Amino acid sequence: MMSSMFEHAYKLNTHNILSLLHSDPKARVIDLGCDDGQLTKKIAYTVKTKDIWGVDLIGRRLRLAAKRGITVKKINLNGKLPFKSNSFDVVHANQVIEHIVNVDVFVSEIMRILKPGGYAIISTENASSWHNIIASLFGWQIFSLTNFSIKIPSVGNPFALHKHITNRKEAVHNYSSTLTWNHIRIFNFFGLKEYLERFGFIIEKICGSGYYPFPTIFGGYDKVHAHFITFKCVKPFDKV
Amino acid sequence: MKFSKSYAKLYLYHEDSDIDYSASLNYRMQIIAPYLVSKGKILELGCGEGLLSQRIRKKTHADVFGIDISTSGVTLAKKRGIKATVADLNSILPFPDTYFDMILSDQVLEHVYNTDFLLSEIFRILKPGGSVIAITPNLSFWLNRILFIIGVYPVFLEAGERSKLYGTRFLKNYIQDKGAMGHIHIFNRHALEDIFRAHGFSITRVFGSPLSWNLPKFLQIPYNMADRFFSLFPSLARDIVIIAMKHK
Repeated sequence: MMSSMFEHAYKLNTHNILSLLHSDPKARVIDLGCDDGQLTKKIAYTVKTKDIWGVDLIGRRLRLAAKRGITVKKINLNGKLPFKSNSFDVVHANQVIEHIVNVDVFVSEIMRILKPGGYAIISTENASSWHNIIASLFGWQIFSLTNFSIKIPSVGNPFALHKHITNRKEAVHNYSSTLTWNHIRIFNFFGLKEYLERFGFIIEKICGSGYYPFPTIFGGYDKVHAHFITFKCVKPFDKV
Repeated sequence: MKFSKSYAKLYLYHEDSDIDYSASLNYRMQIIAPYLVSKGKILELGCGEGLLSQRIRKKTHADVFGIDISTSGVTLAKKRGIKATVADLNSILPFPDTYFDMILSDQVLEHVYNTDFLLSEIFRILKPGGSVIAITPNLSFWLNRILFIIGVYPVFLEAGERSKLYGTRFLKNYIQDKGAMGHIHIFNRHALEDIFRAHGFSITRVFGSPLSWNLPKFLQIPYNMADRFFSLFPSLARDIVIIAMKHK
């Protein structure tokens, strides 16, 4: 049941992401951590653009994305991005920021590559979601911070869904997958909001999804306790 | 790695620093003293300017080694007679296998992003029968359990390396040290036990420890009282002390 709720919340989160986009056929869009490009493709379709870029660390997944017609590039998101300043209209990063070691560089790089007036959509798990709260009250490690070891699938919480188990097997052999599988930092609603504002972003809209054990849709009303939080943040025109 | 360089900047030590750490050092020594080996080699991970190592050196007849990412810290530690080296705890530790009788890590595990790698390195350089003392903040400590519910960004978690205040809402008024500590991964009791076991250690003892911070006067006393009380329960304590052993 839990896993079907997860699927449902994830679907709604994807829906939230797409709802934050607006159509602009001339826009240049980049998906940071594009994986196999499924969502990237949907984003391109919603924005109605053909100028779509995707970057990721895992070459095998990137090749799938390239087959979908996305311009791909293999880069490590922990460093500077190999793109010119003010070059993208939309930057999207779904479930990526929690895997980044050096978030300060990551967010300032997003700011740099965005055109003034362009927007970034950043979606991540929420540390203060109800299931994390409940785990914490019982003394278990919060769900969002159980996957940081390749030795055991979930650290400090026997109830965590082992949804990454197939990736985990690979991770043992492949250091780069370890980097993409482990959660490093976890934010919550207020933490991420104030953090992004500090970089000069204007937060235009925030969406929430997932509210276990209650219906997924509740997360849209009480975003502070939703499972997934999605931020639409705009780079101001006066910031070049 | 570039990240390590930017990270090292967070930890600067000055020789003429006038902050008095003696009370917290005495308390630390009180916690770890029963578990220290009296001779052999002791390593302190993230030794900083070597204040704790210096105490250990005075108390035992052991050779005290230290590593830290901060060059300024290591320089000061060397002056205090510690065999200190600059090293990044996310990469290979510059010691041979089974070299140390005891490894100490005080408020260090939470500053490392590659926890798996560090623990496997600790296991490698520790002698069979040797033990590790690790002290680290508790993600599920008593105050955080409340903060989680009201959506305030929990203490110890940090968004970025600029400040620890993001998302702390009304707590901002009470936190006096604003700079980020450089925390990356925070554990709670179960997580800490699990990860140590996963790396082949057996756990000898887990207990809690209180640790106060600077608060306005009217809050200081009630906070300290609550903290002292909850430190009796390791899963609710502010800091967790774990003693783990590598089997012979």
